[in-house]
Amino acid sequence: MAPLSAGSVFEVSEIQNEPVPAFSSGSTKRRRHFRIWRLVVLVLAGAYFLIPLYAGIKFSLQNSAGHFSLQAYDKLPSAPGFSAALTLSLKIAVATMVVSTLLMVPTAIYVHVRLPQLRRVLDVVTVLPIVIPPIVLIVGVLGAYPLWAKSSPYLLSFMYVILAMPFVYRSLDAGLGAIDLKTLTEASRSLGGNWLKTMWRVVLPNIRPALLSATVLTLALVFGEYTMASLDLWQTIPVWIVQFSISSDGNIQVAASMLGLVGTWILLVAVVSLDRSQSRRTRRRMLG
Amino acid sequence: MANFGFNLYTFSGVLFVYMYFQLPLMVLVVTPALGGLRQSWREAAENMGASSWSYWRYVGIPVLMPSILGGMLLLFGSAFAAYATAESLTLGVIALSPIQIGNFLNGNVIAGQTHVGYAIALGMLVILSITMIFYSLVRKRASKWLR
Repeated sequence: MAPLSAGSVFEVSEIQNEPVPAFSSGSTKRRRHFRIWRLVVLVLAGAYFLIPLYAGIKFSLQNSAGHFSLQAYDKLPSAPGFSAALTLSLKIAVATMVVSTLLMVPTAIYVHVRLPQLRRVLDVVTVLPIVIPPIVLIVGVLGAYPLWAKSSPYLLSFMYVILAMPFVYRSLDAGLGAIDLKTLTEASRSLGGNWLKTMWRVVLPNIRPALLSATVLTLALVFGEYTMASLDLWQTIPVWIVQFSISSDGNIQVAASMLGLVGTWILLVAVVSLDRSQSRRTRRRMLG
Repeated sequence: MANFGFNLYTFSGVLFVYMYFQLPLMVLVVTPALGGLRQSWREAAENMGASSWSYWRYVGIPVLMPSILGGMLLLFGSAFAAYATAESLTLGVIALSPIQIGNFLNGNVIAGQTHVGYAIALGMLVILSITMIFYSLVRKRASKWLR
């Protein structure tokens, strides 16, 4: 590309007999401008995002006199209501992950294998929970469900299955699209495997990374959801953090938020790197 | 911060905090569109003597416009629907519509007025549906350049 364009510039200048603006110097100047701008934007955005985080971490590592101490993290496990909130959030998270896996995995596989024409419809349906805000959804739920359903925390996990559906479906859809599902299922069926065996021993192992990232996204969602839990009057971890901050000094609550943030972040990074190493391994296997 | 007359627990404070979850969303929407800007368009503009400014004014921004508009609509929707951030920041003092719904639902204002909350919820749903219709229109326009 480069020698060709240089040649054509040369020809043009021959014909017109006048100096042609040198493209290369212009583009390096532009690139330098671009680099400065990039640095400015990076520094500004970095300050904007990191300063509150820094403030939060610093505040959680202080005692009331303003000196460094791990007191907030030390007191956190025994803070009133914390362990109950953690247990509740974990229960809801496990229920949500089980229900959404049982519901979405067969659906996604079935649509991919048998009803590919429905994929467009499912694309639209799975976006709806993003469009409909949780605050509106919970209004409907609280109005429609009988009291016995509302008095169980597991109603929340059914709501969270809906909220997590976009992420879970997208993830599974991408995972299923990346493998040759039709050939795999046909091969399995011709070897005598039934529908269940095909799913369990052929399809599931192949979409394990997608399944894992769907699960982690669900977990992160359940541990971060405030709107529905607070209006359904269940004290999950986010609700506890907000309510505890009203009744007590803030260090412990900020410590809990920071732990949650770092925990989620580590989990997501782990899944992404696992995903990457998995796909690299598959590629190598296909090449060699 | 307080010296500049800025208070986090007011309307402008809520705006400032909303940017934390809005900014990544905008980046997610606009980045693919930036990838759709072809190098050859820039070269063509330069060949015709366009400066960097006129390239962006007549080529770059117009091509990106549908994506930027789409991002703005999406951000409007997500800010309009957000409850948790404003609620936990101001404890329900600022009368955003999701917070009003929450207050009516909890019976914080006057007991027995939950139907007002339902009405606000329906109104929000209508506004968000209109936003999403415009979003899908803009999206269709934006995907034209992304091939």
